[in-house]
Amino acid sequence: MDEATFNLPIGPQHPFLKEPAKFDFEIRGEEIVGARMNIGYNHRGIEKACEARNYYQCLYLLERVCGICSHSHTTAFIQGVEEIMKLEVPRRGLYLRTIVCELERLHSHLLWLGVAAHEVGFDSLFMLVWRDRETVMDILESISGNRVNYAINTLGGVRRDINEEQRKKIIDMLGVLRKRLDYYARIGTNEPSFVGRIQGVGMLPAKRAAEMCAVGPFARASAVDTDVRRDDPYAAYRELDFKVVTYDSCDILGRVIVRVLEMLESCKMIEQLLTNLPEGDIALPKVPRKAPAGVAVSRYEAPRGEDVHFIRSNGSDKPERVRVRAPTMANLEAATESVIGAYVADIPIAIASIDPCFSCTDRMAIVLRDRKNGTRVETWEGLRRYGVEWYRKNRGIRF
Amino acid sequence: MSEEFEAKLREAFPTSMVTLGTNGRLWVTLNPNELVNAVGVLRDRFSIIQLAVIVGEDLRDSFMANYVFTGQKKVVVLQVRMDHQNPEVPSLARMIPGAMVYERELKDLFGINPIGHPDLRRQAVPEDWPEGVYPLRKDVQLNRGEDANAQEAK
Repeated sequence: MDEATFNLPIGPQHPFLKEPAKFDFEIRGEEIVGARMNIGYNHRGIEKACEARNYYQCLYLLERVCGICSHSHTTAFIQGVEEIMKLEVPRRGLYLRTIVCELERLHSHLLWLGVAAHEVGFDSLFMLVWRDRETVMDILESISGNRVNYAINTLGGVRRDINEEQRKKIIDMLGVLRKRLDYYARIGTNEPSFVGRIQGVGMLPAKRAAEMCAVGPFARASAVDTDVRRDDPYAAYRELDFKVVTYDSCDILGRVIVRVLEMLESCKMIEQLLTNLPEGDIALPKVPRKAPAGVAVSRYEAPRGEDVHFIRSNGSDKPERVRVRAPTMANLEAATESVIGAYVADIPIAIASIDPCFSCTDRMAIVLRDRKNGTRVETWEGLRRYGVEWYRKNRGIRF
Repeated sequence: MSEEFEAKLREAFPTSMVTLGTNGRLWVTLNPNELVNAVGVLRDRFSIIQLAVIVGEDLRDSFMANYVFTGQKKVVVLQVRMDHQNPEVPSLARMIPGAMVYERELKDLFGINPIGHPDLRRQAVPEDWPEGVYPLRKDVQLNRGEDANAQEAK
């Protein structure tokens, strides 16, 4: 570190899925010239705990890996276990599972779009988006009984069925949501102040994204054409007609576009699933407690990217080894690099652009170590306001 | 399609055991010193470059590291078996920057040493965690008793 650069540590107290992360930025003037990250402050030992629990108990434990993509983790795990036990899940069960998958993607992306708008100071978009997210939460509640941690999965199927009345109501609600999403797609990609904050910021070239093993919408916005739903179809995706959205601008604008268009695809998929919902059982009547010795690699396209579960069974009712690879884990390294070259004012939106869990961001403290003027402590909210102010003064962007 | 790919893999790895698992997953068993070469072969001959995860396992008499590669709509798992006394694997950090976080976890949770890793700070365990205790090894017990069921039954 030479004389002209300062060290800007951020974190670790802000929850990223499994683990809060700490970032060390090296800044020269306003520009970020180096970045390093450290994670693992919140390793809860879930993988070890799974080895002492049976498959049903693991399911409820893994549901709590993440509050936003709880269904992703249980589905990824359950698919692996069903593969080892050689269970054939009834088609209606698979369809219902997939409906919840896509609803979860909708609510997660809407949540992210709101957060992204808030980080750049576009609070009216944030409020509109979060209002419409309630529609999705209501649908999820009517299907599963819960707003988060739906607990809809069980070995060999799902736990709750939907009736004809619910089916019609969900289709109606989705129709309203789709119109709103079209509007957000126009705003998010054309509103000059919003575009001014996110265009050309947080660049991650396509080649680097592939090398750093980035996944999900973050990679797809860097023109990496990857989607587990198409490449390695699970649940009911083999029978669905959908497009994989990619974009080649490699910046945050691209990540907004990819996520918004993905939401429209999700709406289409849910409508297809509800219209073609097959009749029959939703789960197998009897499932063995013990799994034969075996091993499975289960992949699942979570809202944030590919979720990988590795399961080894040993013939008993408990797994021998469970490994959970959440998508943020794969994206952190690439996200850290994408911030290099941006301004301090871009840090909140650049880190938020990989869609980590940011529910406690306001409690986060940032220490600015300035060699001339001493040390100053900033909160995440302070840094956000600084970013909004900086762009207002230097670029004339006002909301 | 998987069978055809399996045959190609067998040809590319003549000295290793290649098995076709469930759901089209292909498993290749390697010695630690063959790993770097094998990753190069996957990259150059099959264009499979996405490292999804490295899974460490304690098989009680030995350790195993599973390198899960995805790409070209395929999943290939490179399995490296290691001695229980002195587990070591070559680091892939120079070839695949994305491997760094997973290798740090291997070191923290299993004590498997990735040789040549540029940045082995602690990641999954706290900074004051005792030296030489690797929580995911089978001989390390949960401190509230080994069996959660027994615990709950009491």
